[in-house]
Amino acid sequence: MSKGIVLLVDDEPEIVEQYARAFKNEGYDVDTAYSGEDGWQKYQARYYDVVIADWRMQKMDGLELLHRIDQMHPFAKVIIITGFGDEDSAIKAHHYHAFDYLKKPVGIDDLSSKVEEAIQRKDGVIAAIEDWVETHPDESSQPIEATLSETQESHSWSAKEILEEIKRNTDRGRQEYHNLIQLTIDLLTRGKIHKDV
Amino acid sequence: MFNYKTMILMRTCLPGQYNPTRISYQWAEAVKKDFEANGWQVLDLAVDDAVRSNAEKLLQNSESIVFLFYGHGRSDQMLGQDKVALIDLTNLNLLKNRKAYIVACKTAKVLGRAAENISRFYLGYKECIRVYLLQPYAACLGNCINKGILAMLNTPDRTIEQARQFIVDEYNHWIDYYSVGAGAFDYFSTSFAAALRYNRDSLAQVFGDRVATLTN
Repeated sequence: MSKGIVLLVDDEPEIVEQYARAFKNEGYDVDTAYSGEDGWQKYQARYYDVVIADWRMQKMDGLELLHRIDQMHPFAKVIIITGFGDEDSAIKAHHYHAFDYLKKPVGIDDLSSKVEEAIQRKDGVIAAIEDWVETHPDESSQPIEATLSETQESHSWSAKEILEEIKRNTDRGRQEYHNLIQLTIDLLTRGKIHKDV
Repeated sequence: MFNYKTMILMRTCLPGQYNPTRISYQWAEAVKKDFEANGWQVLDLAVDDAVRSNAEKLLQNSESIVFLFYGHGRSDQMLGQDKVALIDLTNLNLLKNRKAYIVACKTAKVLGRAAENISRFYLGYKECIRVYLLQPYAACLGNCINKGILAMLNTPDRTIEQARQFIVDEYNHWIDYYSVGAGAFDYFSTSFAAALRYNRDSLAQVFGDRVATLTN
């Protein structure tokens, strides 16, 4: 079982390859991108637990990539690496909700522990559904839900599909996530569960 | 002169193993049996008979005051087997003075509001109804969906407003059972409880006469 899915984005191929090898050896599933544009394309197509992006890249830089990811998926964990290290960059990265901001040179051990920290703070709802889907492969592939709305009649959803929708932050995913949170609020409001439990 | 122990039932059942109307059709069947067991006549337009021309003919010629629909919906339409509107704003007048209990997505939003001064009452859903396709969840949801109309059938002086509260209470019972009660054990049960919560809040307020009963 993979420890998590990591996307590495840097326009220096040798750095990307070095990090990729290290993370694969540690048991992560790793995707690589050699430009901000490539990274953005890959991010839109798949869910990633952590994105590591270099600040300085041609055309779309790390900040722009971070900004786009933040708009699409506010809870994404993006680690920004820069060789410049000025305070303005850190403030901007913070503003776009970077998980952390590391100054070059970044040792693989430091980066690895930062990735591990990001994975530990994974969204609890996603982690719980992921865990269930992984341990129930047959049940999670079975269509379980549809609506009596004519516009959605052609589609029924399996737990696996719903999980993917949540991870990709689609309308359907946001709706499901919202409903799970609303259930918790409803149970709290009606006194069925308590905040300190 | 209306016939007080006749009920009009319209229900679709669209093809496809996972089409939710296969489930809602069964919920309608359960209601039909209960009405018949209580001495009611049920005028049933089912599957291919559930199309606009048949619906209009039946509503024009029947004296029944109770109207039930189970199938796909939009905010301004109940859809027939052929996906053409059975009831929309142009023929809503056919529900004049009738008591409508509608199991379809969103119809309360537009049709229900429009029916407020036409029908005796109109109870439906203002958002989607999320249907779980697996058992026992589908049957459990059916209990919630049908709770109101069966509560009125079994207790003649029960009002539609009270019946609506029965539905909400039934939803709450099963939300608790599948989220924090004995039925809470995996993602299915939690997700189902979340869907029940969603459906409970999709149920609209009663439009029309809130103190009307099934026969009065």
